[in-house]
Amino acid sequence: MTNVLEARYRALLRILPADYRAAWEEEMVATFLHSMATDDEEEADYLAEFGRPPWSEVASVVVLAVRLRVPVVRRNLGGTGAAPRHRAVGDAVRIIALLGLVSHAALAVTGLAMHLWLIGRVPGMAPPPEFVGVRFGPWPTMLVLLGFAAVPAYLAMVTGHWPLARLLAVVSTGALLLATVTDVVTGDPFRLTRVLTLLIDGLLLAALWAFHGTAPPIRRRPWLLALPAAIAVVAGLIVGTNAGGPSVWTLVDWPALCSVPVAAGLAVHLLRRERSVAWSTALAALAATVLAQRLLTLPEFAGNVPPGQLTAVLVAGAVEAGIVTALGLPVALRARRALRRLPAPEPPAAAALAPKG
Amino acid sequence: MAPAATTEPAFLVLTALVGASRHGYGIVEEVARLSAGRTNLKVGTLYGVLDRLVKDGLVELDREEVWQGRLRRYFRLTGSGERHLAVEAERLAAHARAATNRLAALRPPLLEFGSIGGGVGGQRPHTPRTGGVA
Repeated sequence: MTNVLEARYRALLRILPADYRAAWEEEMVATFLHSMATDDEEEADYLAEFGRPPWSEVASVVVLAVRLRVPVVRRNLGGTGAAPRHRAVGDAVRIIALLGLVSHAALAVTGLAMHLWLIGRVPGMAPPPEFVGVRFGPWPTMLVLLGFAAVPAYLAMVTGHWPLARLLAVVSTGALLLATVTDVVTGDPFRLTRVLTLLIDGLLLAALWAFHGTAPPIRRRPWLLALPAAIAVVAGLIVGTNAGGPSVWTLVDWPALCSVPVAAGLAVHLLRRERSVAWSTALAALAATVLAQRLLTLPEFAGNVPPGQLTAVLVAGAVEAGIVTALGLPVALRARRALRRLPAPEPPAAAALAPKG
Repeated sequence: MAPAATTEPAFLVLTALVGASRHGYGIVEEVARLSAGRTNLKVGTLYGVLDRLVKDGLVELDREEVWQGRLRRYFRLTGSGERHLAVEAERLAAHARAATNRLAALRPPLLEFGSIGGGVGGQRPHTPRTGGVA
């Protein structure tokens, strides 16, 4: 009969790859239960009913899961010589990583420019009246400068210095995390929008590891040109939103701003005659992310606007979600079809466990 | 495929299987005995090692038995496993010999240093006075 301890251990083993579990699960459960066996009947009953795997056993299974899954993830994010389907998925993740990093770099440039303007350090441009005489202190400046590490990170990435780029990107994303933690500690209310943004930033950071040993080199010219283009887009969005006055900027939050370049990218992609599987997959994934972000944060955003603007905010949110869905769905379907057409890779071999002799 | 460098748990598991086939918990117990209780293999670690050793052809399934309603697999060393363990044991023994020889070569100067009262930082060791000049 399966007891609670066994059930909990089996639940833990679910983090292992399916082919590995098929070969080893029963054996691991038997050995684990044997190692927990005790002659004390009372203790045995307690363990059976309330027992949990010790932390040391949990840790050993987690380490095993990581060791088994890292090569699988690396194989699925294939580079040169990988199966075509793995190569396409790998290229898609690398495109997402580069788009994420170039966005961070563009935001860092515009963020630094705005910070210098607000503290009155831009010659010939006085800060807005409400900021004149305000003392910021060194902390915001330090966070802006740490975030600026995204710019050298992007340049290092494009020029092939991938480990250095990842280190700088960790610093840049760390600054965002630090800024969020600081705000929460100093009394800023918990906001789902901010947590989701951090989660997405974390995933974009992790995607940089798709540039591994067999990943193809990055085409320098187009990706270097992407940086000034991205800076222009971000600056345009900021200026455009502010120029529209309160009637516009109260309707625009961070997920709304994110949906603009993604929708534009999807539209351009749909208009192109030749579309690569990797770009279709990357844009479909970005569309799904932006859509999820929009839908999840809309209630929070709507809850923070004056009652008179509630309808306008909800309509704007629905329009954003509708546009991203309308453009993203055909791209996603095309990516799915194209990926399925690519040759499937061989499944990994499980350990041979037939008795011999 | 050539096996990768042998980690300490893998070395101990291979050693535990010399001359006897053992099931998972039997290996855990034998490794604890071999290491005088210093290595207590966790289940995740053991089956990570066993999976790799089976894939590398160093260990194979000997037989399966049902014990208290559960399947129990016994593992044994293959010929290739025995050869690999012998090579690894010799490699580790060579390292141990090299370390021992170097330490032995270092000992006389140390003793000499100690005997002239160098001590740490070149200070003279404290010696209690048994008498003194009043």
